[in-house]
Amino acid sequence: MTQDIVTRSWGPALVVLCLAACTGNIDSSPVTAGDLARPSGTGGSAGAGAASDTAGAGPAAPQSDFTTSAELRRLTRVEYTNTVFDLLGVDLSAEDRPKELLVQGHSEIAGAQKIGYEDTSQYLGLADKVATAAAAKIDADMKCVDAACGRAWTEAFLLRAFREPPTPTIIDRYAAILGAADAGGTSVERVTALLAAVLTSPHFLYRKELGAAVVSGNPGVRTLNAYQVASRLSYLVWQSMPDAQLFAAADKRTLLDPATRKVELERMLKDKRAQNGLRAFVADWMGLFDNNLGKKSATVLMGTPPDLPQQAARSFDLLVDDVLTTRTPSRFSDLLKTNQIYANAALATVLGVNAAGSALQKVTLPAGDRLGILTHPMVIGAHSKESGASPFPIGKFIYENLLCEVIPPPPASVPKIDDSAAAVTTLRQKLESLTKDQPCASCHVRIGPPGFAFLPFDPIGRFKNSDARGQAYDTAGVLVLGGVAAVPFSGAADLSAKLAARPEALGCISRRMFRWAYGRFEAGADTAALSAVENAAVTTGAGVVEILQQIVADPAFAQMRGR
Amino acid sequence: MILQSRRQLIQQAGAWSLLWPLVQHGLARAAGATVPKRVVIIFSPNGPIMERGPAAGTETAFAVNEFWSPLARHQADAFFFTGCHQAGVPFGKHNEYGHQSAGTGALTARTTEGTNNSTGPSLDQFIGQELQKKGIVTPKRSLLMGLHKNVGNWGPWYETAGKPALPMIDPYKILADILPQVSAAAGGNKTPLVDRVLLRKNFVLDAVYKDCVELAGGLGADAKALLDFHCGNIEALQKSVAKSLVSPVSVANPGCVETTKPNTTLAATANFEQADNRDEIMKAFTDLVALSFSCDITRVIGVSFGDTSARFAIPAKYGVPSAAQVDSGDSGPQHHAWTHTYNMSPEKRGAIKSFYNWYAEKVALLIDKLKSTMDANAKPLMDSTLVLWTSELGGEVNVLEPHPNFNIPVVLFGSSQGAFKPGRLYATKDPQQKSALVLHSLFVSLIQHAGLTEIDTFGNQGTGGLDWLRG
Repeated sequence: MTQDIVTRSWGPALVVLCLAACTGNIDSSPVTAGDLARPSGTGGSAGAGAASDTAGAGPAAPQSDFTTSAELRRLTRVEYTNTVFDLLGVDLSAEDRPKELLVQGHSEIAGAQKIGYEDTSQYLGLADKVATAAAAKIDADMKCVDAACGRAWTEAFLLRAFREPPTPTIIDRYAAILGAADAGGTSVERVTALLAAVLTSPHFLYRKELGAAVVSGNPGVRTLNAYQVASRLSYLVWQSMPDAQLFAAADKRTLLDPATRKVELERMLKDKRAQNGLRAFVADWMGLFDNNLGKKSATVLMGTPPDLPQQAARSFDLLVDDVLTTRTPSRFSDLLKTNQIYANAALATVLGVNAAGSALQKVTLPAGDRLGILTHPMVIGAHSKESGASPFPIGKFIYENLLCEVIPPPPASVPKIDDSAAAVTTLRQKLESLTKDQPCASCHVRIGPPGFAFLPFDPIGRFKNSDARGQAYDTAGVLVLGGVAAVPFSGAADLSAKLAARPEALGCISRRMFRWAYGRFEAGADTAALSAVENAAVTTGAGVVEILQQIVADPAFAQMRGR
Repeated sequence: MILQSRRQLIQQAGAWSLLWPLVQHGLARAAGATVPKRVVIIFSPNGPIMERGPAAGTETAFAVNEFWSPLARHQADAFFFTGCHQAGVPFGKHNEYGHQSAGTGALTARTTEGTNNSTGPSLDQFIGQELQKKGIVTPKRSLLMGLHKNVGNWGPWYETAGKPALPMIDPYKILADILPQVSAAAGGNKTPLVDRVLLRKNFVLDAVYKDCVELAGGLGADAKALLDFHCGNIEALQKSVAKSLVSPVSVANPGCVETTKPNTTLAATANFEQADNRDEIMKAFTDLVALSFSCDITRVIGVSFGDTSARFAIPAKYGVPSAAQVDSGDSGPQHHAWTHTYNMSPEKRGAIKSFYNWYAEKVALLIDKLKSTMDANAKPLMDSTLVLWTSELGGEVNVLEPHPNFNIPVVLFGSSQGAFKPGRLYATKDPQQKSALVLHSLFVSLIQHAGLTEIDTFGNQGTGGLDWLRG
């Protein structure tokens, strides 16, 4: 279009632009970073503290394709929270923490995570808070009466906090704080200063994957040191720092052996902290970067309990725990097709199930309307607007997060679409009419049908059979996969069941886990490794153990590729 | 990094705690004290759409458009701009870029075509950063408060390329964030505890900065760039903390009074995203702006009514009706939904007018506050403050376009201590390319007003300030 638009007067109903290009609302739906898991398994997908947490940011500029290894991986909010808890026993999950920048719906893409001025200020404030809470006990336990003792304690502490042995220079720098009068008048104040400095240091805030020796015959690839491998493993499975056993294995360099990593993985998956790791991954997979239920309009929320967002988050976490950490085999696909859900009296009316009392209990969903986590209020709330139906954002979410197909940004130029002659009566008919021509159609023919399957759900996930005019929703459609396969479905529950069986969806789960492990998108050199992971997923219904085993046992897990 | 020793800081802070009441008393009455220049930048999303506003007439004889009518009481103290093309959108390519380039370009004055992200800082962040580089350090480099935190794509506020700046929506948290500095500046309740915390933070940042620089030295280019940015921010923060310790406020103002609760009837646990709470939230923000300036916490503040394409609604008592479902999928009593209804109905006009009346009244109240709060020279804060209000989108009567990047409504309040001659209308008839340069120049004028007189460009177009402001 050109500037002659300035002076044109357009007739009513003549000019309606392609949805995506018009508003970008597909993209601006809750594309937000957020709170996921809490330490020690106490909550996860936007738990109690997350409802008031602030939203994050939109996608990063495509300044890089983020396929090379990031030498520095800033701790995500979940990783930061869990690490502080495991290191010092202080729970920050209710605090505002610096937010991740999302890249194509991923929160873990390390190359995009800049720490800005306000982030730095926020980290400093949190560090001071944690240090103040923890210092007295540490000072009492330290029992140091001389500088040598303080230095030894500092060295041991830095090993854990920085997740690898500190250099003598760094030890000296931090140990000096314990003896610095300027750091405070009492030993507790000086310990406070030391802890605050450690928690604000880039050695703490970033996971370092710098690499050491160049892999023979492959100058673009370098091996990580064993401590960096320990961290990669620990953050993958637990979303937190290594424990004593992993540090010991790193010290012996046995983690450089794939077989040892598999053994460690088996042990780690039995640890309660694995819940945190799986919750965080599922939340990222489902696009739960904030708890959006509390943001819905007053009209939508009318009659619901004030703690609905917190109850729904807890319900979601319990479902993830139940399917992924208590069942054998443990399969991500089961999350898509489980007919069970956790509910209490507060959630019962939203979910359309029978549940009494305040305790969340596992109940069976009635057949037909609702199935699996895609129909959980947390997921629908995350991808719905405040007050209205949101078929296109939901459809886009399904293609991008469930099928790993990138829906391109709005075209640079959008034609005018004339819908004046369209005989539309329902929202679906109207939206289909508006987007039936190119360039809109190329995307909307894909994202429309799965989105329309969710029309019966309101923005907080309540199901209703007909629209405001009493017309039944048309929720049937065809899922176009890879531009080739066509999978018919009818309704969200049927769509969920079909997705749970599709190799494209199972492979996508493993692809997301691959990116989760490496903090970057895959490159051509990853083809073989990624294929092996995808095969493991397809043959096991996206088995948790099988996918993770394949990833950690690959030689690439102990390497970085890049500069 | 230039860091004063802790001992120096302790000594100076101790001295200040003893001398402060006297110093403040003296400064407050020091005739002719040099008063800092401040800037407020206000952004409202989605544009007026059905009006080209904000005023019409000749340069000196003009009437404020009814959408902006609450501003009429400040007409003599404001510049109204009409007809200008948005600074960050490719010329003549409005609409195709919808909210994308509009949102990312409105305050960055950079064309961000195709990236959906900024390639540079927004005006508020730029001024804060440059002031600090120049050694004009305040406890907070800048403040950014917002009534809406639906920060999806294409927000107007950026710390640097690809790094959005996120508005704080909770006035309680904003006050808590600045309270140590307010306490220090206000003097009365300054406690040794506050000093110790600030001293520790200063100490911590010194050690951390050394870590940062060392680590950056061993990295590849991408990671080094990432960490250099972080190190720079550690250094900048350390300067601000040190500033709080050594010289809490450069000029004491009567308005700098310690307060422990924001001016609102809302509880700290209120939902600060609820539309019905926005009158109260904005009232609190207004006082926080005046307090921050009075205590010299910062020289630049951004106020956001919402991001571009945000589903922004105002309290129900203003009676905005619900829009039907529109092409964006939006519906309800939201500004964005109404701009996409593709009709010229009185109902649509009434809805958008309600939004603009509401925005304008809030802006007018902020100007009221800055006029009624005195500085150290017993002059209104407004005398030394420029307030800019703009949007990413404009409008025109009889155009259905929901994304007009032309006729951007811009209002600038203030005279920059008499340097400018307000009470005038800039109604450009220039072609779009030239009219966009007007906004670039206007932005430069704000930068120069803030004390950065050596800077004569901003964004990716144009040079120099807007001489027209001087009359």
